[in-house]
Amino acid sequence: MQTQSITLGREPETSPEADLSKIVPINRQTFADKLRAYRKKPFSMALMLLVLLAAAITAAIVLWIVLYTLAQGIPNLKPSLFAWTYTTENVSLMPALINTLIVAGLSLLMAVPIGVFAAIFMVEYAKSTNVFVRIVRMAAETLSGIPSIVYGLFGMILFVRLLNWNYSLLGGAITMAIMILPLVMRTTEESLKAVPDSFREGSYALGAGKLRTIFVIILPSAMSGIISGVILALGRVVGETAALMYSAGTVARVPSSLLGNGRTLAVHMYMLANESFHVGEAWATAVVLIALVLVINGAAEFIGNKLKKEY
Amino acid sequence: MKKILVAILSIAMACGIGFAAMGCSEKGDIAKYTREEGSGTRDAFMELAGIETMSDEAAVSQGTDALMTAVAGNKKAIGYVSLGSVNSTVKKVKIENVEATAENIIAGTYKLSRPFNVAYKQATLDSNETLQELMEFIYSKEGQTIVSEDYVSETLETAPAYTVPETAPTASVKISGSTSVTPLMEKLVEAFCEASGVAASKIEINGNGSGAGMTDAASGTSDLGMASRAVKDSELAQGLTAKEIALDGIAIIVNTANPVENLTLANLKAIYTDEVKSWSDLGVQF
Amino acid sequence: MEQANSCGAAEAIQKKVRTDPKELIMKVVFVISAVVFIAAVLTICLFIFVRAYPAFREVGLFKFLFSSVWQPSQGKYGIGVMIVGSCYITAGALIIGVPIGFLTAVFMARYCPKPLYKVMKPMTNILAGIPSIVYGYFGLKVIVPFISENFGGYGNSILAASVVLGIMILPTIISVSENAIRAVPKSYFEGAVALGATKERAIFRTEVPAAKSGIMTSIILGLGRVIGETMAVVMICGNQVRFPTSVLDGVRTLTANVVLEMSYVESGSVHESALIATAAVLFVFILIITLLVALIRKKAK
Repeated sequence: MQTQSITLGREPETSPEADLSKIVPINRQTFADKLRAYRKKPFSMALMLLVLLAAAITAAIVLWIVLYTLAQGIPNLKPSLFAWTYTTENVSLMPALINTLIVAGLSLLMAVPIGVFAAIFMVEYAKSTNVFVRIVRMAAETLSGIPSIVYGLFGMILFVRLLNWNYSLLGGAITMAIMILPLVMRTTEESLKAVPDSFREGSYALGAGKLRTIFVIILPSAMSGIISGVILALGRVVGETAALMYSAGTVARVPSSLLGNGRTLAVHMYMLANESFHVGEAWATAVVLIALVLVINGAAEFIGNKLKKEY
Repeated sequence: MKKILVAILSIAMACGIGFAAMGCSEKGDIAKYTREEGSGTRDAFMELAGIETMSDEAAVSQGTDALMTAVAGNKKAIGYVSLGSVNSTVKKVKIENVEATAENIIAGTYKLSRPFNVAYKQATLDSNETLQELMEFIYSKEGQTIVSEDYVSETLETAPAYTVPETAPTASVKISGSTSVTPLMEKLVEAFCEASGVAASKIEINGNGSGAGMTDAASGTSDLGMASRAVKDSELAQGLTAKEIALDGIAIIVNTANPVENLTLANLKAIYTDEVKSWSDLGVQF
Repeated sequence: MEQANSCGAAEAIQKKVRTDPKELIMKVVFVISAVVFIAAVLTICLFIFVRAYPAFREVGLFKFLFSSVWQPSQGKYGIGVMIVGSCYITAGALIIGVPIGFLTAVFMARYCPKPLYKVMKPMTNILAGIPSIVYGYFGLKVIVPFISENFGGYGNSILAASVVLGIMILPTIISVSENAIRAVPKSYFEGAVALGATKERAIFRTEVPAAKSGIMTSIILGLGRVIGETMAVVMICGNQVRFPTSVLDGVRTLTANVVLEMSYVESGSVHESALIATAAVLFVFILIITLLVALIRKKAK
């Protein structure tokens, strides 16, 4: 919106009707002018240099980490790392990858309906000044900041010990679901609130009921925000280590039932790093893990942009 | 608000610089690394070296490789890990002039050795045929041969050959415990499944530390617990039966740039209780 | 936007909601979802504080928070060192991360030429996408040896943890601050330049103060991430339970304490309760941070 108004404001300058292009604008500065100005204002120059330096440092850090990981990991990316079963010889990451997908799928299955519906209730049904709504919003904000290790501790003691499920994919998935619930709820709420009221009014005026308005008009309009929230949550589950290690377990196999013990990719990497024989494979797993998370984040951005609607 | 934050930040920065300036001169230059509490390797090491309270200056690494990586990256470092895990990134040190090798451990001349134990409840063993079969395999010639590849087997010479059962048992077994024993147990279970025809999916191994393994086995969370140390009386009192499956040395490791060749148990105790703080006190010059 | 519900045709719709069974059922479903959500929230809060209570009772709240002795085998539980450790590492990470992040945000918002921006933006996003375990491993293999080599000491130190966590919070600070700076009306900048200010003066004296609340929010969000970070920290911070005397000393943080010991605690013991109590202290820290953010937002409005 804002950029639009800026371009509008500038349009007369570049309008082709008058032959303005030949006139040198009064605020045009040559490089020499700039240098002279900076010499008079050394503090400004120092600030500019600091800004450039900071940007260079950031870029260097990113390149350093990414290239270092790739350099260490790619030579170790062997086909045997993707064998269907894990043995101590090939330390395959395939079972861990499948477990990751299972845990991620299950936790989304639990968290998304509850999170989205709860957000619908808060935006469309409850009054926004309601004390209840305010408490829920505050709680969601707090919960989304809680360290994952706290969820892990909760999952371990409740599912593994008290309910005696032992380490299980299901326990891990529920722990993850509770962890991402606030994130899904908050992002959905924000995107529902961003749908203009005129949409609702128009729908009601045409005689649609509340339910029809929500599902046919509002949800599709808010879809891009909801989906990118969900995918962000997915990325969090895939990258999670501490909480899953103590709720889903560390066995390197796809269990026969959901109540079985299984490690996800991030846990797999941690376990490999922790026994000295497989340092190279640990870096290779890091590469796969980063690639997976980047694909997920890229998908979020792509879908977000694709579905974005201008009102 | 901003002023407060700036104030806090500048105080923190001043403190930081102050700390850095104080330096670590009086701390000596030995960088000692230890494992976390609940690790069997740590318990065994403290017992063998006669250390009652570990110095709180020692950095705690979670896991064998974390510790070995730390030692490999620090010239003045010392640490201890399972002998079966040591690789070429670090240097093993002789203890009381004895090299850490399988022969010396069997002969009893290398002082830092400890058993790998498994523990189970008798009732669990009686009712679980797969577990019985697995135990038989571990103590067979085939099982002990696998043990002797990276660790020390005391019974390799006398172990009976493994007799394959006519029908593979179908009960499932859950194993949990020491992270040091886990690599060995994984290999044993793999070979066992191949030899006996038990489906690999029937057995699961969870590496969560010796203490956790014993707790799990006693509470029935797992069928077999692994410990990389002697099983404590308090654990046996919970109805566990302990059996030794292998001997493992604890290797004292230092950086490859460290010229030290030999240390005594008394040296180790002095290092890990802060009595000796720098390498020069031990006669080691870099 | 806030008044989604109080819009004009309310009466007729209310009637329809009341009479149509389908509408009614779905409304119930929505309410149930909200209730389940709150139930989940309440369960976690109750669980943590109820299970933490035995430790507070046994040890005493004051002693638990301020004692520096943590020896579970001797029944001594004090998290004073861990609180101090978390604070030091957080301060260190902010000292490293905030200036770099903030200045980069200024660069991205006001200096960066468009083609470069198309490269820089995804690059900072990559930083946000790397799982924390990878950062930890990177710190252990690269930064820790570098520090012990060049500055002496253990390498596993407050400094190492601060550097790694400072890097980890960069993307949060950059993206939130950048958005805040971009949201400042262009007229601020133009006005300042028209009065003869240099570009830097215009940015740092007019735009940045106007974007203050957004920048503060970004710092506090980063702070929350640092306090809660677990796996990366436990690999590189040294984990000693004693007060550090230099930035080259290691120290244990609250999160590291939980993750180091949770695998072998006995069910129902005071030790378990003490770990949950550590988590409860973390919880309270995060609550304070959230309240701070809410306060800043309220002020900004």
